[in-house]
Amino acid sequence: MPRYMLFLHEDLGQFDQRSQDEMMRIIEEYSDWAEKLRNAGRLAGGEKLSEDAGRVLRPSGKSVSVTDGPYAEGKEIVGGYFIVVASDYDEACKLAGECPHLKYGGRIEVRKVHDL
Amino acid sequence: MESGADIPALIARLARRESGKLTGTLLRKLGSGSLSFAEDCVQEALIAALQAWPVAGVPEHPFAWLLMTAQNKGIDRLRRHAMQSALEPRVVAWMKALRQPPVDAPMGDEELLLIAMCCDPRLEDDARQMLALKCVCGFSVEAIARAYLATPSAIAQRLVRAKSRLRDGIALEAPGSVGIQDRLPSILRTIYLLFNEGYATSGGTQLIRVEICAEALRLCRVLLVHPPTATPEVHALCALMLFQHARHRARVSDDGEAIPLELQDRRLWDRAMIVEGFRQLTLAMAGDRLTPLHLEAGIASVHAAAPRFDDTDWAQLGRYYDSLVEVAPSSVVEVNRAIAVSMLRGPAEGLQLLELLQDRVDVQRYLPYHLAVGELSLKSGLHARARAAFTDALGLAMSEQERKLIAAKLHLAADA
Repeated sequence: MPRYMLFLHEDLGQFDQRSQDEMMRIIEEYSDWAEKLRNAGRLAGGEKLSEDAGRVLRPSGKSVSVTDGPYAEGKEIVGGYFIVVASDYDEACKLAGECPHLKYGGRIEVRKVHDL
Repeated sequence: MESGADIPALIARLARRESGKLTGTLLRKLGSGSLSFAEDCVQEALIAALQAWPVAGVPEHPFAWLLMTAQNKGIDRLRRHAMQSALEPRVVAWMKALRQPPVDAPMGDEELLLIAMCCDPRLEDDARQMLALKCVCGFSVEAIARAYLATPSAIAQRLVRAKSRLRDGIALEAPGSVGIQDRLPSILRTIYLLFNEGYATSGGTQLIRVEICAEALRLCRVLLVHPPTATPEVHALCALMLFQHARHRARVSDDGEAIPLELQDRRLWDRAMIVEGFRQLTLAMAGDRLTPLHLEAGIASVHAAAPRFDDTDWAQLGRYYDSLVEVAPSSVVEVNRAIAVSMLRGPAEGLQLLELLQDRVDVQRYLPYHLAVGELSLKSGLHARARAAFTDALGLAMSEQERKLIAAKLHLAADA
């Protein structure tokens, strides 16, 4: 079955103002969402990414330029990614759509892994 | 109430004395594999104290304040890891644990737990020492780098690697549980080597070396506070370090040069520490096992007991070395025994013992062996022999100071 990457975009510090009770609940929601995918054999991996801007390399004449980036605003970052297994984009989007990330102001970008 | 200016000093003291207990308390709450996280939370709590206390005053219970703050800092860190809870069950578990209020009556052994954790036998010796200095003793990476003659970034890397190896460590619960007692040999070795690191006259500044020795002693005392780890051997190590550390003011001259035992001003020896050393030595005798640490402490006690170098009880010293050769045979011990024998029965007999060692490879690289051969040859009137030995010694000298010392001896041998 094809694999899909879910890129979780978020605003830096999006949970900073939540109370500790809310935070506990949110953490459990993420964990429950993953648990459900895992039990259904749909979760194939993922990682949290660090909250810095990262680096972008571009050709610059004969050398390579390295800049902070790629985010113009500096506020939104890709906070992490998951890999899910789904039969098509519709199903992948359904799985992603249940992710609590969307409830709390984040965006999810879904991309199909292109197998040879 | 501390005045404003004293607060940073107070917090620095707390960092040194309490960060081990704070980290250990969090570690017990969060389980093994949380060392880096717990340490970061404690660090943040100390920074928060630096900001808050000068304005709001020092709280009535500073430790409780720091612990509560460290827990809240931990919760704040986990906010950033909400998404990760999908992948990493520890996020949920830690969040739950950190939301529990701090225990009113900590078990009092949190620091011991942390020491045991840092002394994981899977780590190399120096990694254990660095980890203990960082996590239990609150040393900065820079201070550790000064002591180990390495760059701060190299030390930081070693610490990260060591901690990641501890992540999948066995959970250590209370001392008294098999875990910590099983680890006692590794803990003792770490404290012993830590003390030696501080005691060695090479590397680092004198200040930091004295501090490391003092910390090694403190860690040893933590073991002695808890009955399951207060074994006779631990008392012996404590006695050994007390006798050695008691001399720290007399061992180094004002311009940083090492002063050999026979030339030290013994009035500078710390009497209180020596008295405490003998008390520890008595407690060490309660056991039925004579360990190398017992004998090393015994040897140190003979020197500590002598009001002048000439009063040294060489016969007793010789007996201790004889036993040590039996229990823990090594060329180093045998060289020292030969010196003790020479003091008791004359240079010729000492030289005879040293000759028996001359074919050993490790002895050939051991500077004190060549010095001893040179010294005893000189006393026996064998000048050519002395010159050869001092020349060998010169080739092994590590510091300018050693070279100067040996060159002077060589000169003496040439003159006669």
